[in-house]
Amino acid sequence: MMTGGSRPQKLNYSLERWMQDPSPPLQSPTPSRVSMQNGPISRVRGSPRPRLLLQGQRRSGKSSISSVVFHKMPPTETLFLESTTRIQKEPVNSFMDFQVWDFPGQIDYNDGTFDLEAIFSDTGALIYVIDAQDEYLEALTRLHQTIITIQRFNPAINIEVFIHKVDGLSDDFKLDTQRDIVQRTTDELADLGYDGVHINYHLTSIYDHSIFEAFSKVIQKLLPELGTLENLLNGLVSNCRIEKAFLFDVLSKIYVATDSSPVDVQSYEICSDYIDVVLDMTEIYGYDRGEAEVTTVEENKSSTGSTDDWSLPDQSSVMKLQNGMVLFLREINKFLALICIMRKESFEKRGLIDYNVQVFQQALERVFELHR
Amino acid sequence: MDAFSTQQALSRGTSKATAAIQRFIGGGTSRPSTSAGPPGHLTPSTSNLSSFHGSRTASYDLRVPVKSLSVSPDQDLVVVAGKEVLKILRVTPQGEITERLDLRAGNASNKIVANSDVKWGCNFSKDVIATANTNGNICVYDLNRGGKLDRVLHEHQRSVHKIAFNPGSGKILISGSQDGLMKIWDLRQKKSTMTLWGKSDAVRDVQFNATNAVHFAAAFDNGTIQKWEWRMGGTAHTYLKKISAHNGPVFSIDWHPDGKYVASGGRDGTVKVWDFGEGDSQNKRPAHTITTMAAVGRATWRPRGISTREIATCAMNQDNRVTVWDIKRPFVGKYAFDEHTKEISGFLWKDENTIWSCSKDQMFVQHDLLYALHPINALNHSAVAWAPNNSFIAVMGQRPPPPAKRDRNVRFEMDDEIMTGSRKKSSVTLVSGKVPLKAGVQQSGIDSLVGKYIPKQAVVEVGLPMFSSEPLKYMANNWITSLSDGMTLSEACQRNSAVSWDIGQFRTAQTWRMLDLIQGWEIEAREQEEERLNKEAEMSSSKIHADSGIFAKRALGVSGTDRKSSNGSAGATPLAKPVADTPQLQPVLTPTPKAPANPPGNIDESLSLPPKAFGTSLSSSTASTDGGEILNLASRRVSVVESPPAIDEDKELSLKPLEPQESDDKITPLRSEIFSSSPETTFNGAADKAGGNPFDVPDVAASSSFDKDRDRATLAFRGRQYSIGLTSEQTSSSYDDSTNSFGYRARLSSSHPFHKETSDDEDEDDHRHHTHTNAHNQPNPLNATARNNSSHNLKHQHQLGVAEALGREIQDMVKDYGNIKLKGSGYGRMKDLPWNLQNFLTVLTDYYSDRGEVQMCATLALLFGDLVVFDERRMGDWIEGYVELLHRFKLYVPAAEVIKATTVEHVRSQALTNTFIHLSCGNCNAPMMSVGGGATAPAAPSTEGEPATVRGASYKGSLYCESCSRMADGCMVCHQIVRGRWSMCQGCCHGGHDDCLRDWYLGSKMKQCPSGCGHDCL
Repeated sequence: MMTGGSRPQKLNYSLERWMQDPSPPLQSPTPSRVSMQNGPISRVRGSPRPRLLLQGQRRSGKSSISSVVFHKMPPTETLFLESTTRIQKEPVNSFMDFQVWDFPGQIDYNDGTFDLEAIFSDTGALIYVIDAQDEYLEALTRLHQTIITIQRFNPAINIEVFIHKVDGLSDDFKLDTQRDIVQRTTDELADLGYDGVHINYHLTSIYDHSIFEAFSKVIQKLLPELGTLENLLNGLVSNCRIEKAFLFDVLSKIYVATDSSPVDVQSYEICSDYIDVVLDMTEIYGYDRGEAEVTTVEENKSSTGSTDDWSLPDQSSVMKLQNGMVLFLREINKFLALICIMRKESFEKRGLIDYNVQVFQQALERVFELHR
Repeated sequence: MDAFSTQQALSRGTSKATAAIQRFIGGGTSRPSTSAGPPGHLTPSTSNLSSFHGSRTASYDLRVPVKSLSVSPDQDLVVVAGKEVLKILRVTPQGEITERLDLRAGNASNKIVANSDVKWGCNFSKDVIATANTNGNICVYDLNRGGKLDRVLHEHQRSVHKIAFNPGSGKILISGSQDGLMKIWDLRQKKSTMTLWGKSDAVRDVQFNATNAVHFAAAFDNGTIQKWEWRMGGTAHTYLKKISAHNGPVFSIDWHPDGKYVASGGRDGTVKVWDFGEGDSQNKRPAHTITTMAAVGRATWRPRGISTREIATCAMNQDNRVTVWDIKRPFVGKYAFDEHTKEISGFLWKDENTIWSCSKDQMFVQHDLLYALHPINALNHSAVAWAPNNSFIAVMGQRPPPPAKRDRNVRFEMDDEIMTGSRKKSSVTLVSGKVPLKAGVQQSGIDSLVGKYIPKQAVVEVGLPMFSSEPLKYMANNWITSLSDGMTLSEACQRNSAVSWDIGQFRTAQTWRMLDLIQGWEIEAREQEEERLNKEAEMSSSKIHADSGIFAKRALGVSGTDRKSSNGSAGATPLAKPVADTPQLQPVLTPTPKAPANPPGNIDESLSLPPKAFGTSLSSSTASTDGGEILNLASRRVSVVESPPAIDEDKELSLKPLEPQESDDKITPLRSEIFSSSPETTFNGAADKAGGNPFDVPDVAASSSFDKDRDRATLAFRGRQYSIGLTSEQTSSSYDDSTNSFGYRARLSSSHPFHKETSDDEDEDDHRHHTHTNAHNQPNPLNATARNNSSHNLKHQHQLGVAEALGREIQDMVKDYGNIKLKGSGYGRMKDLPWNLQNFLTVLTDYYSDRGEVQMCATLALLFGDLVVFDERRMGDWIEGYVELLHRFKLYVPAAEVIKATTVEHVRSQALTNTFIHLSCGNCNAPMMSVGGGATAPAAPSTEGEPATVRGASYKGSLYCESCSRMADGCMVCHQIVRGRWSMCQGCCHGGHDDCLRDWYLGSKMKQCPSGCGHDCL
């Protein structure tokens, strides 16, 4: 399904000049997948890929998050992660090329040695991680400082606060913690005159899917064509009687878009697990241009006949669940997969669904071309 | 049908608009109803409501999944919308459902995409239906023009999730969309009049406040709910209130009819009620929380006026029911409807007793609340639990009467506790249509709610008389479990006896006295044996040095008096022929009380004897006497109250099963009655009644003298049988010739009639002797006398009577047994006697463990553990059980003493493990997380006198609180850090150095806490 390769690193060097250590950017532990050099989905034209800054106090879980989300590390293994000592830049070559900068918690970038403008100006989103199980007052102080700094350089940045490690808290306490953090932050920023700053808060944990969901929302906000994607999905869903459709980034298991009906946790989890299954099967049984089939219904779809080179022969997989639901996975392109949950009755019109998905795929193609 | 509709039309008046609808709807093609309600709902429709009986539940198959629905202002039509459907249905009060209009039919289908929400207008716009579509459109249909698509409002770029008409004007429409914007539309204008951004995620629900229609509430995907006022205009303004309500998206929000509270339901499966009223109350906690099973799709207040406290919910998935909750009872639904077979996508209250719902199973259903399921009835309403003191508690909830077929005229709801006054008021309000609130006049159902639901239930606490904790506590506190310095075993026994006597545990007291005697004999005999063996040792070779050494040591330790202790070797050798005979033994017996106790020491393994020799016989005998006791009311009462695990009570239970419940009530008065009749019986008498013992001794000795031979024989065979556990001495020396029937031994020898009988008798003898002693010769002017006269004596006199009746037979038998020749004598012979300490203790422990008196067993094991050998495993069980029992009754000091005294390893190890205490800062209450305090503390021993503030920043030890960056409070007197022991008052938790506190309380004679907290510590 995917072919490995090394990512050209020239883009990263432009960022090097601000960094204290001149070491080459670290490659992610798993071989990063190549995307087309001028891939259809590179967000920012002619400039480095959008950046996600991961910040937070020491030991708040930043590296764990990036390991779990982008490197498929089992959550239990994150216990043994070393403390990050320098800014770790991880290019994520996926549907959307972006870069995650893992800031060591102890770095104080306000001390004048950093080119803050350069750091923040190109950044799409700041993810500030707060350890909810620890005392967070100091973290909040840092957060407020960071927000104020950011407001000076790049007010358009999305500020996302991950209230992390909430798996250890009771439901009530989770919300209490969130309320407390929100209240303190709002008050503090209001006192400092930054009333209009929009901050998103997410309760996350690496031990369940909340971190993926939170990351999905963060990524989705960086996606200008999200509304279009969503409307396309809505059309597909309503025309095929699909219960829920996700457009997944298969590498990170982040969903890039979904239809506008509410996301419920179980659907997301099963889709996410389904992707794991399909990827694993592909790795074992897929050949070069993987066309592996899994599960009960086997299908080999020929190429859609699209002339575009990134629209490759698609693969699909169907899994019928015991409760009368059907999971339907369809490859959209290298990095995207469409997963639909539908009832068995709806799946009877298979031809219609295939056709609609093909139309959807072509539409998607056009959307991305437009933005190119 | 037609008649009914015209009737309704007439009654509604002849507004032009309604007439138009009527005309149109009446002409619409109707499909036959496919209602599948319970039989009986299809009764002939009459306009007379009151004559209608039975459920109005009805359903209609729409053939396609339905997403949402909305009711017309006239309450008889409903519009249903889904991905492929937009229809108006007509529902009669009887539950007949017919289709009136398909709004899709007359409109170009290509303009319409899936509807996510539909709303029927109100007031001026009651002929308007608006739908929200997933492509961001809002479609407005005009019923006056035959349901034609009037206009399409398209400003949202992404899916519109919810729309709502303003209940005040009807021309105002609000929409909430996936793009996070809410737009206010005036249907008379082309563009939206206002765009509001909640700075949050997608908007999942918007709803106007019905009582104050300038306010609306919005629910967002990121878990927040917001309160807005749309009247203010402009774009600069922001929400009035924002609450992080749920973990995960909020799907539904609904204003309470009082206009002050909202209920929100979210993906986290909870429905929360929030104060959304005026005033900037920073109360960000929900007023009420209802926990449901699955993600809440919709949550709607039951329309019962201002006093409503019930919320109907449906789940997004996994649950196909509509559940109505009472906020007083947040864990069990009050009503449930399970007509649907798939997830419910939308529902509304038609009136307070009717719910209309639509579902993905393509059905539209009318639910009748009066015929709803009551989930509470499916639950078990009773529970039973044991208390540590062997009583148990049973709780039984009162079930409402079964929801039988009630007459519809007599509408009542059993567990509604809404005050009639406020209800009347609210209904008046509704009728007169005065929506605005008058503050202070009406009381909301939520405000007036004082607490959670308290179910009516019966609680029965049954104290089983098998066990009462008082004696256990008293004895645990006063018994001697380990010999302290200078205390002899005899003194311990006497003391324990006195204690048990005081508490009314007469049998236990007797046991201790007997033990006192027997251990005296035992020690005497052992000394004599030592002496004799010493003499023999001079002749014989000293083979078994080790044994003799131990024995000698024991003898030394034991005597401590001027009694001669021998130093000889070859203690209990197989060669040792017992030489002592009965006359020799007799004088030994008398001076028992003076016999010194054994110091705790090593257990002599060679002294092991056949266990359980006599046990069953003793227990069976007591059982029989107890059986006799039942006849005697007085004695029974005593035993009910004062001898906790009395067997007679067991028997009583088996005889009269109802007894426990009754006696539960009786117990307290009974005890008080007894205590009042003999006030001396209270627990004050810790006085030693050892003086009684000398009187006992001759009797026992005399009785034992004629029993001896027989028992010698009894034990003989046993000795052989259990020779494995014995030293070779016993097998080889004296038991060879015992061949009589008494050799039969069974663990439960009560099955052997003969054995049982005889042993009963001999026990009677014992009792008789004691009784004589107690009744006639009691020299103590103590309270025991009174007790004896009142109750105990009765018991024993009764026993005496029984015993004397049998007396002659027994003596005959005894004579027979006495014929058996014995060869052993002295200590070796002593071992075979039933009152040999080992035998006797085996008997005792068997007996008491059979009765479950672990306290006695454990104490015996502790006191005599080094004189005799107990089975290691059983002893472990006893001690462990006793310690657990003590812990249960919070008798920690006795428990610690037991743990300290015992030799059982795994119990001892409890006391050897580390104890961790986690501290929290006295200042900010945060837990003190810093580790390594133990390591750093010794590193800075000289800092004792240094003030905490000086060291606060630099020193980060175990006493440094990281959250408030200071050292924890030290001594309250000198305000310095306490290292080492820190004493505190358990009342106010203030404390400090021992010296400082001593100075404060003793030196300065202060009574209050030095911290100034006002607590009277002393």
